[in-house]
Amino acid sequence: MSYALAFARSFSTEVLKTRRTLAVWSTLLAPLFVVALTFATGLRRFADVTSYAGNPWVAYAADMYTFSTLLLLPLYIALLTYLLNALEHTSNAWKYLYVQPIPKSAVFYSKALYALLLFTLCMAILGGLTAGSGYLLGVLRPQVPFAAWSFWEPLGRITANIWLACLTIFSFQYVASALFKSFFVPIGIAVLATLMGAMLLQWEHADKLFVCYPTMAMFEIRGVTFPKAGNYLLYGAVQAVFVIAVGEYFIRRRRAL
Amino acid sequence: MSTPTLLAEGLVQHFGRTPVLHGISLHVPKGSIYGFLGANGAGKTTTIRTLLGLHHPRAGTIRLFGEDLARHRIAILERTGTLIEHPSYYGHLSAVGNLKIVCRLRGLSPAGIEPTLHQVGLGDAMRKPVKRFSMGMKQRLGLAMALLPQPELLILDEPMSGLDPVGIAEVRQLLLRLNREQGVTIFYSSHILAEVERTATHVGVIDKGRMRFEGTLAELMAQQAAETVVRVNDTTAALATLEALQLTAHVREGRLHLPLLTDEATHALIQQLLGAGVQVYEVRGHQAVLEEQFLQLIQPTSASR
Repeated sequence: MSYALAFARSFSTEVLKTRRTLAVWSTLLAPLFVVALTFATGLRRFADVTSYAGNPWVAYAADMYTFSTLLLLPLYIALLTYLLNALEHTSNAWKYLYVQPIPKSAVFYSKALYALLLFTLCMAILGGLTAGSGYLLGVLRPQVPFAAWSFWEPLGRITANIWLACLTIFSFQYVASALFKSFFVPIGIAVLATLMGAMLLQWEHADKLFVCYPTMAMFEIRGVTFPKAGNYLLYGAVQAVFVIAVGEYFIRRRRAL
Repeated sequence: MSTPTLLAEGLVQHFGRTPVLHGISLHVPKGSIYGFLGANGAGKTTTIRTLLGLHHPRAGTIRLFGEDLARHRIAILERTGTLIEHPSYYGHLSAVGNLKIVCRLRGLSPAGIEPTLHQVGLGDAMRKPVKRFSMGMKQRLGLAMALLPQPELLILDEPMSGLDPVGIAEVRQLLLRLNREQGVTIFYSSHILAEVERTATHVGVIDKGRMRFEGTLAELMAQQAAETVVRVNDTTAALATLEALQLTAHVREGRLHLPLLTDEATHALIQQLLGAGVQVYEVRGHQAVLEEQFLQLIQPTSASR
């Protein structure tokens, strides 16, 4: 049996296992919650035409993604990765998975890919709902020229940047929740990462510190670029791959509980 | 002689610095039912986990179907069904849902799911969420997950655990049927000695990480020959009489234990004892049961109290 086939088999079980579970529901509901809140506040904010200048999609996206990036995404990533791995922890299933004719690494990476796809779906839904709710806002507040501007460029770029900026935190959370049963570990990491991300933004090596990337991406929407930001998105992608590979090595060597 | 289905030589395992397996060896012949006996903490589950590649041994070799586990783990696991300790299951899914996962992992057709669930007695509960199952039902589900791929080798850790007497009898019959009709080799650990006595063709006894015995059930039972047991009012006087008759005996729990006597020799012994003024209350032939053999193997002093 080829590795690709083993990977595909393992991946398909992830889809089956998580049907109608909180992991999938949170992917759908988290962006809906953010958009509903921002839309409600946007209705009031955009009543005053002086509250924005230039492309209204950027102003609207800045509102939308500030709350998401600072609070919702760290918690969502922690919850998602925890829920996917908790399925195996609480079901006593690691040992069962590891005695199936599937390489241990395929079990790990297929679950990681599934988690990443759910996270990507969450971001895509957030982007899509932002566009939809922006159009609706334009209808309800005709003085704001949403229809006069294209949303593809700003929303696509912003969503992709935030997604990239969160990748290392995602990898960290995935590995932590695969290693530890307790929900407090990923939540603790989420809180710590958020605090460190805000506190260390001005540090000279902030561009090497993945906890800073989401905040950098968030400020970038508002046109604030940190002098030490460098090529932080590229660093983030490289670090994410490194963290997941190191995590796989440790988990493969760990005794199945 | 055919290659053993499972052959382990000199397995050494440590947890941290604590040694838990001290060079144990196992030979499980093809087509056998191998009962792996040991007290709690003897090393049964550690051995099973090591045999399946969940723990890497510090030393020793493991071959299944003639192949080295370290090199051909995936190919070996394709031919093996397993149940390790407490069964693994996804509580939010039904029994069918759990077996669908096994089908997807192994590339099996889902057509085998319902017959397998009927086989283990879960036919009426196959659509119910597993979180509502009793312990015994979960154990049956674990067995179904092991049986679904129709393996050539079943490695089961305490498969009777959590089952009621009816369930134990059903699982026993199932294992015997699989072994006799389909030639499945079965390696299982158990605390229930009577079950091993009823089902196993071969037995391994492990104690404190060391193998105390390995062989056929008949060989184990033959280790303690049949004996004649005599209950009298005065064992000291009786021993003196036996000595005069050049018979050797030892006293255990107030009874005299002698090598099995013929009917004539028994009659002569009773006459001699009565003639010496010893009151004889009971004389019987006795064949040790597995429990006595097991206890003697793991606690050598307990049988001669």
